[in-house]
Amino acid sequence: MRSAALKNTLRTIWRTKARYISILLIVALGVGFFAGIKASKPDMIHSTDKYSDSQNLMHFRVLSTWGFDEDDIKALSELKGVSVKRSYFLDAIVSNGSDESEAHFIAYDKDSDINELWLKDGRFPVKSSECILDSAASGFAIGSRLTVIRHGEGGELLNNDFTVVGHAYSSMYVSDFEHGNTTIGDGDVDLIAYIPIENFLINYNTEVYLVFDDMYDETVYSDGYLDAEARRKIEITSIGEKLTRERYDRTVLDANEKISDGRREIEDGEKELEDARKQLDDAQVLISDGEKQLEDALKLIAEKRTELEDGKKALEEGEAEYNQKSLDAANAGTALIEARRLYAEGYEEYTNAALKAEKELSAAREQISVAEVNLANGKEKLDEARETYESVRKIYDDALKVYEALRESYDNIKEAIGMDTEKGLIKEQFDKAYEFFLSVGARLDESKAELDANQAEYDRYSAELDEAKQKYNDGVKTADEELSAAQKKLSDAKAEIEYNEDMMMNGTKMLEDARHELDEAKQTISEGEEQLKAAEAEIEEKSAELEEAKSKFASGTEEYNDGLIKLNDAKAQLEDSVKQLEELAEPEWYVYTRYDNGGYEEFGQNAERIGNIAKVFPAFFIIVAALVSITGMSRLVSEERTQIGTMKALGYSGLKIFSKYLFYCLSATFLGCALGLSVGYKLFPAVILKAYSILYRIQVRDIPFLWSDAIIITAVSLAVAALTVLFSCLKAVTPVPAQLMRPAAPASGKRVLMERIRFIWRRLSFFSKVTVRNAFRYKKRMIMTLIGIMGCTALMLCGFALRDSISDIVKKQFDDVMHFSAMAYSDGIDESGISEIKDIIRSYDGSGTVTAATQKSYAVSSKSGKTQNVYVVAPESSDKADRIIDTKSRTTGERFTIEPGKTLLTEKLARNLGVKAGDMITISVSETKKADFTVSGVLENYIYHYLFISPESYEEMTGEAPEYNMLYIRYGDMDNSAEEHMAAEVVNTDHILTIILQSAIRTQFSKMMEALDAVVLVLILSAVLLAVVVLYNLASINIAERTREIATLEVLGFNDNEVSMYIFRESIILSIIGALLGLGLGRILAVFVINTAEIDMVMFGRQIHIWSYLLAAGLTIVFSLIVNLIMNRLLKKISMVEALKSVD
Amino acid sequence: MSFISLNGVTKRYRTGNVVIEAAKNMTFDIEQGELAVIVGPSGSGKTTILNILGGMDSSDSGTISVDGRDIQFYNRKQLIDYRRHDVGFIFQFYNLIPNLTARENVELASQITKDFIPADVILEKVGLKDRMDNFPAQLSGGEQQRVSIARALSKKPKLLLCDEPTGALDYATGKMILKLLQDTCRQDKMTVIIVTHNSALTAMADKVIYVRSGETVKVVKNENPAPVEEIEW
Repeated sequence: MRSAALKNTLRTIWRTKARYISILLIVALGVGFFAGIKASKPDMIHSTDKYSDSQNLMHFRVLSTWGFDEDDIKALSELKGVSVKRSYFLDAIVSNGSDESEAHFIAYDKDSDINELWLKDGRFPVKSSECILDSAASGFAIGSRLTVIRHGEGGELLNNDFTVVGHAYSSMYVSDFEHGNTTIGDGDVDLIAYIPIENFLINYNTEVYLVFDDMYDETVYSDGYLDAEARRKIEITSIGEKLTRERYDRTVLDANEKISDGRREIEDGEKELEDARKQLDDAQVLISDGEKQLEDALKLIAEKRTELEDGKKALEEGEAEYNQKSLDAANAGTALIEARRLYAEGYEEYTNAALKAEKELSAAREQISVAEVNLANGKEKLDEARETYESVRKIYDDALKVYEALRESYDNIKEAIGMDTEKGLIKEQFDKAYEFFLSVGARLDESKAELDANQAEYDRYSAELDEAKQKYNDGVKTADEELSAAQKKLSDAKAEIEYNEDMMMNGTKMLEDARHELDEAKQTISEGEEQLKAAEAEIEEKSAELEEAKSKFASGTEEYNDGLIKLNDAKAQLEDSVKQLEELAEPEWYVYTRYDNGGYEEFGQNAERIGNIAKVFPAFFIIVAALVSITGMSRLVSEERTQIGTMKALGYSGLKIFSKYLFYCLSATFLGCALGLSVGYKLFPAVILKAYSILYRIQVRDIPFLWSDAIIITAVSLAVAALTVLFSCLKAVTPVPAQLMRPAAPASGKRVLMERIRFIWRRLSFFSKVTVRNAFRYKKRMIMTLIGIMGCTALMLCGFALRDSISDIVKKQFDDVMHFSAMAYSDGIDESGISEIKDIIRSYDGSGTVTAATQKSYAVSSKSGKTQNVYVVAPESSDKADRIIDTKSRTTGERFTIEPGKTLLTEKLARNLGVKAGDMITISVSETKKADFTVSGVLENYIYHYLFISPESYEEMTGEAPEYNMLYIRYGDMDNSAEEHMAAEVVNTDHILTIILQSAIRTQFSKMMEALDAVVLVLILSAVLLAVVVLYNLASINIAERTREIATLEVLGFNDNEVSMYIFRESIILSIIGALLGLGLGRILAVFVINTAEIDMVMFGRQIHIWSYLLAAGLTIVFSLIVNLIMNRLLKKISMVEALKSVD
Repeated sequence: MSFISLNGVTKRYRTGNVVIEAAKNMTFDIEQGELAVIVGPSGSGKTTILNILGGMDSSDSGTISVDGRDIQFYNRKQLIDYRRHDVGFIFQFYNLIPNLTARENVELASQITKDFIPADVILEKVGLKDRMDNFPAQLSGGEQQRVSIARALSKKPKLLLCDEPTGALDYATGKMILKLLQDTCRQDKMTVIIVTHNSALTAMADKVIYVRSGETVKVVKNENPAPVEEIEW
């Protein structure tokens, strides 16, 4: 029986699977959306909690105006369950080579696990010259260098050049934009750098981080945490008060003791100095006496020295003369000896020459006589030869004459006979004879030539002899002359030598006398010199003594002067110290919690906002889901009326029958919950956390399946489902079986209210009337359809509106609100600098403007106690504010100018502070200095907060003349490269630290906003899903309930189109009405969502575009039509025969 | 040729693997202006044949000719047209639209035809002049059936098909309805076909067609049909 019932139930589910699934889906959708959105807040909080716990984020950060000494640390370490991290920080202006930015240096201590960093890329620093940057510092890539240009007060750094070795996320700074304020540069910290702790050359710890064991157990943002935090804060503060008081007293006591010591010392010093003065004066008198004596002595010595020099000179001259003379004498002696030697030589030569001449002359005479004999012999022989030759010659000539005569006769004969004579004998004879003659003749000629040659030789010899005779005679003559001349010379030389010998004897005597005199003079001079030397030595000694005395005096004086200066310094210092002590403020501890940390609080607020949204949206889904399942179940029960009747008739109890539907509905609900929860818990928080991760760098995303919540939600859903079933079944289960076996009486027709308005009713066509009547016939379904469609439209509109307002931010802010194209940061710029920048801008855009301003971050508070850090901007002149921002109200369009003593502030700031025009705000210039301003206008603005005051007010407020540190630059459209070129040119001037182009920020913001689109998409998709499920469900029920009616129409001959229209006209009209109502609801919802979803520093746009209305309504109607079209197919499937079968 | 002529009409229903022959080779003729009664026990196929005749269902074989047209070949669209202009249907449970008044129920039919009898006229004719603005729930069964007849007649059909028109009515009311049908047939020369299991009604018919188990058993022509008043059951 049990199994039969179960089988029956399962069959029912199978048969009505579309309905079953639609219940399952609507439950899944409702529960999923509800649970998902609801889990987003706790997930955000848990993620933060987990992240901060995993990084050991400090619970407190304590600063002291005096820094922390060992006693402070010791006292803090004695707190129960505490861990203390001692740390340092220092603010500095740093450069990456081109741009300058404000950096907050924090000690990186690898041995401490408090405030651990979450490595993003690169590595942690190892060497003291390495640093790791907060991940927001995108301008510094790994490997780039970071140079400290100047730093704030408080201490020094070991290195001023750091190599970036990595980027990290810090749980201390979860916001990408808020890094706190600083006293240097533009007041806004741009980047956070962690450098090894040894870099801080600071005597005391500048900050201390505290972590408490018990606070770890509490979830951040929870009440438990806040309670523990408040408790601990009081403990720390009271320790701080005690220690600072003690330290102040101790310091004052020490200081006073030191001051009186100092006074005493100064008095002693004064006395000592006076004694010294006296001694110095005495010494000065002695020194000047000594100097005078020394001077006299020196003068005397100088005179003596001159005398001595003269004597020496005379001696030297005498000596020189003597030397010359003795040299001359020696020369003369040498010459005499030489002369004697020459004389002797000359004499010997003379004798030899005479002998030689005599010998030569006799030899020559002998030769000549031999030659005369030879020559006479030769003459004789020659004459004889000549005689012989001439006789022979005579014979020959005679013979020749005979021959010739014969020859002539022969020739004559020959010619006379005329014959050839060549061969004749005679002729031969003649020729022989002639030959003979020729040879004899030749021999004769030879002899003749020989004869002539001998004759010539003889003539030459004879001539030579004559010459030799002559030479001999000449030689004899010359020899005689030479010899007599030599004899004469020799006798002259001898006479001269003798004279010179006499002269020399006299000279030697004179020289000896002079020598003697000179030696005497020398002796005198050397004695004088010795005396002088002794005197000089004495003087030197004296003057050295004097110098010593003088230098002693000088050093004495210097010492004295030093002493005097020191004494005066000491006096001044003492006075300063006294003054300082009088002015000394007690040290103060500042105890900061995690919430004081930029971004932490905000993130909590954002979680709260999501929580708020979670309260509204999902409720809607849950209601619709419940309604849908009620209708579904009611329908199911009414369809099975007969069956229920049969079962009852068979004796099944009402409870048994009820349990079938309970099972049906509960199983669908349970499966729906399971599906919805498993998808919803993962999807929605993930999308929302992802969207927020753009703004907050929470590195841990903890999206747990919240079992306890899930169980509660499932239980409640099941309970609601059970109630639904009960409600649907009551009507069906209670009646008697017979009644049930009959078809339920169809809902009877009724006149609707509209019919009473006759003039409208009459105008309606027949089918319109029918439609109206039908629409009101099933009120429950009509209302649900309306709610479903309204919800769909409202959600979609809400999504689109959110998108509008987000996309508007960027467009409005950068196109309408901001009246500048770039901001140039300066560390002080004057008029000439400004005009230099202006020239650069003008060279790019002739109509460009440059507006200087003084801009600094201050805490601004309202009377209601709300405080916000804000850029206070004082433009160069009051009327130039609209060159920075559109100075007009968003709501009224009224334009404002800055008035003295009053301020203009931006809309979101006004809202955050809770002020409006006419209210007062307070700017805290410093701890003690505050200035009040009246709000004269609230300006339209969407990103960041600004507060404008006049330069005069600024001066009054700070007590300093405004120093321009910001230039707001405006120019027309420019392409990227030109703009970058211009920016570089501006930064290259000496005045500008860095320039920020609005175009770049715009891109950045656009990107950021794109991510929020994901949330919007989720909304829209959820809305569509909701609409489709609801509409499908309702339409299918509508058709199921009216099958008989539809069949009747078909029998009457309605064509398909007419049948569809008859049924769907109603749902189309409901869609339209629902969509219109949905727009109204959506608007309300959108305003609420925008207000709650907004983040602190951004104001979302408040305008919903007409397109969003059209799209939301249009899409809803389109989806409704699509559902109807799908349903149309069901219509065609209806079988008239089946539907109209008579019930017998 | 007769006004209505069925020849060898067969209809099978398939439910899972089981094939039921609801009509087997049904053959009969009905002349114009005749009042025909198809009579047979439950499940004999009489309603099936009426549905086929009314264009609400199709046959599997055989020919059906109505006023010279072979409706067995009609497609879906032609069938709709046929139902719209040529056929009037009357059901056991009236099938009035509960959300519409009597007049509106009649208008629902006349709205889709060009040539129609105005609702007021036809309702007056069926004797509901004073109840025209009542909703079906406010009318008695007989009145509802009269609205149903008025609705069928308002579009001037060639053929009036009635499926157990008195099945849900008490004796007197039933008679009244039958009278109305007979009068309509006689006065307006309307061809009326009544399907019933009540053989008493055969007396009032011009032609009686007996069916059993999907087959025509016999067709009897009644030369002297009795007026309804004389019939009793």
